[in-house]
Amino acid sequence: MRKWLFAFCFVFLWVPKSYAAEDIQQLIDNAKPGETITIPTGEYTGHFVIDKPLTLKGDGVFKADGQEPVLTIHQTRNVRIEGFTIVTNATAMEIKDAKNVSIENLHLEKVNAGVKVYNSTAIQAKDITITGREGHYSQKGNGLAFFKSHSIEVSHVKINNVQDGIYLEGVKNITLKNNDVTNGRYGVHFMYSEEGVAQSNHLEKNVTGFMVMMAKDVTLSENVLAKQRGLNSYGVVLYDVQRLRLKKNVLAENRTAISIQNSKSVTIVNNQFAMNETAVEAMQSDHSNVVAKNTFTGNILTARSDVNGVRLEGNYYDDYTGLDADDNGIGDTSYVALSSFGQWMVREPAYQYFVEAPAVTLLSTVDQQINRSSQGVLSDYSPLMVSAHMQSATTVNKGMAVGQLLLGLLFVFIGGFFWKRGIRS
Amino acid sequence: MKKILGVTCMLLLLVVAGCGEKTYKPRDIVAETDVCKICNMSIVHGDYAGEIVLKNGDYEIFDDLGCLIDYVKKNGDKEIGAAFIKDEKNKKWINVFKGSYVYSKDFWTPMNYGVLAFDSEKAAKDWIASEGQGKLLTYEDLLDFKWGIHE
Repeated sequence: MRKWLFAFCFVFLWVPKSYAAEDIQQLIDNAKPGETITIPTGEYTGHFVIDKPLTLKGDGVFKADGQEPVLTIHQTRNVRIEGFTIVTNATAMEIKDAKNVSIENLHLEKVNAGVKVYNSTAIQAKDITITGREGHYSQKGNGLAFFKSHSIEVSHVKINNVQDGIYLEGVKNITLKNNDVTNGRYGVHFMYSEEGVAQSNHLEKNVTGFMVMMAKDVTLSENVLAKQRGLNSYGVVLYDVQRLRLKKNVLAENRTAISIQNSKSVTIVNNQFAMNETAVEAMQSDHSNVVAKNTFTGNILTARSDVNGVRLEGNYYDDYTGLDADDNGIGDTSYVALSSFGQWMVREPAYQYFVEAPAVTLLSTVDQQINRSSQGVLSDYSPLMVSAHMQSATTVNKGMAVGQLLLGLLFVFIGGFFWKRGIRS
Repeated sequence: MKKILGVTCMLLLLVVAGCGEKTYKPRDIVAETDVCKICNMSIVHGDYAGEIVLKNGDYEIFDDLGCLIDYVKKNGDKEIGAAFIKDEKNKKWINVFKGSYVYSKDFWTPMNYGVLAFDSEKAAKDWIASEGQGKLLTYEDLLDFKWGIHE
C-alpha cells in the first residue's frame, strides 16, 4: 500500500510537467498586446510564434526537434523574452521584421544556431549563454546572426562551439560589449556592416577573433584576442575595410595577430602584441594605414608585408637593439621589421613551419643589419626605448616603492625604540 | 637489335603519352583547413566554392566565384590549367570558362556578390524564369563585373 502511495505521489507531485506547444501558443495568442506572461517552470515541447507586443518570462525549458526555430518573433514590436532555456538541434530563435526586441538571461543549449535576426531594428541581447551542438563548425550555424538590421546591442553573452559567434551582415549601428566567444570559426564577423563598436570582448581559441570584411567606421577597443593558433588563424583580419580604429587591445599567442588586407584609414594604436608568431601582416595596405604606439614583445616576427608595406610609427619593440644617446626616449636608429623570410611567408604561408629554424634565425639577423640603412617598407624611424604600457606600470610601481620604503622606515624606528627600552631595563 | 628497337618504341610511346593534353580535375573541399586564397575566409559553404588548378598541379581554393575571378584578374590565366565552380542547380563542378551566370543582388553567396553559376545558358535562363529575377552573364562579363554589395 505504501509503495502504491509513494508511486502516486512521485508521478503526480514530483515529475516535471510537460506542456504541449498548443498550451503555450494559446497563452500567447490569448494575451493582450503589451501583456506580461509568466510561464510556469516546466518543459515545453514545440515551436512558438509571437506576433504582438508581449513580455514572456519564466525559467522553463523549451525543446523542439525539426528545422523550424523553437521561438519565432515576427512583424511586431516591443517584445521581451527573459529567463528560458532552449534546447534544440536546429535554430533556437528567429526574429524577423521586428522592432524593439529584448532577449536576456537565456540559455541556448546544443543548438545548431542560436538566434537569427532579419530586417529588424533596436534588438538587444544580454546575459545569454549559447552552446553549439557537437561537430565541426562548418556543419553548424552562428551563435547570434544579424542580417540587414539596425541598432544592435549585444552584451555579456557567452558563446561556445558554433560557427561564428556573432555574425553581422548589412547591419548599421552595432554595440558589442563584454562578450566571450570561444572555439568557433570567427569570434565576431562583420560583413558589409558599419558604425560598429566592439569593446571589452574576449575572443579565444577561434580560427579568427575578429573577421572584419567590407566594413567601415568600426572601433575595436580593449578586447582580448588570444590563442587563435590554427594553421590559418588570426587575432584580427581586416579585408576591404575603411576607417577602422583598433586601440588598447591585447593580442596574444595568435598565429598572426592582425592582418590588414586591401584596407584604408586603419589606425592601430596602443595595443599590446605579445607572443604571437607574427604580429602584423599587411597586404595591399594603403598609405593611410598606421601602426603606432603599440608594444611588441615576445613575437617571433614583428611584421611582414608585400611591397606596399605599412607605416610603423613610435612603437616599442623588445628586439630593438639601437641606442638612445640623447635620452629622449626614442631610438637613434630606425627599427627594421623587414625580413626576407617574413616576405616569403606572405607569398607562401606554409613556410611558417620553418620560422624558428637556425638558418631562418641567421637570415633574420643578417636582414636586420643589411636593411638598417634602407629607406624602405616596414621601418619605424622613431622606435620607443620604453613601452608606453611599461611606463605606466613603472609609475604605479614607483608610488608603491615609496610607500613601502616609508613603511619599512617606520618599522625600523619602532623596532629601535623597543630595543632601546629593552637595553635600559 | 630487336631489344633496342623494342625499348626505343616503348620510350617513344611514353614521350607521346607525356606530350598529350593534361587533364585537370577538381579536388574535394576540406572544410577543416581550406581557406579562400583571396579573402582568407574558411570554406564552410562548399556549394559556392571555386577551385583553380594550376599547370604545376597546385590548387587554389576560393569561397565565392567573385574571389576566383579576382584571382584571375590579378594573376592572369597563363598558369591556370583549369578553373571550376559549383553549379547552383546540381552542385557539381563545372568549367568556369564555359559556364553561364546569373546575377541578382538578392541571391545569397558567401561574399554576398550575388552571382550564381550554371553549366549551360539554358539552365541559367530557366533559373531566371523560376526566380522571376536575375541578369544573365557570360564568363567575359564577369571580368568587367563590379563585384561587391549592391543596394
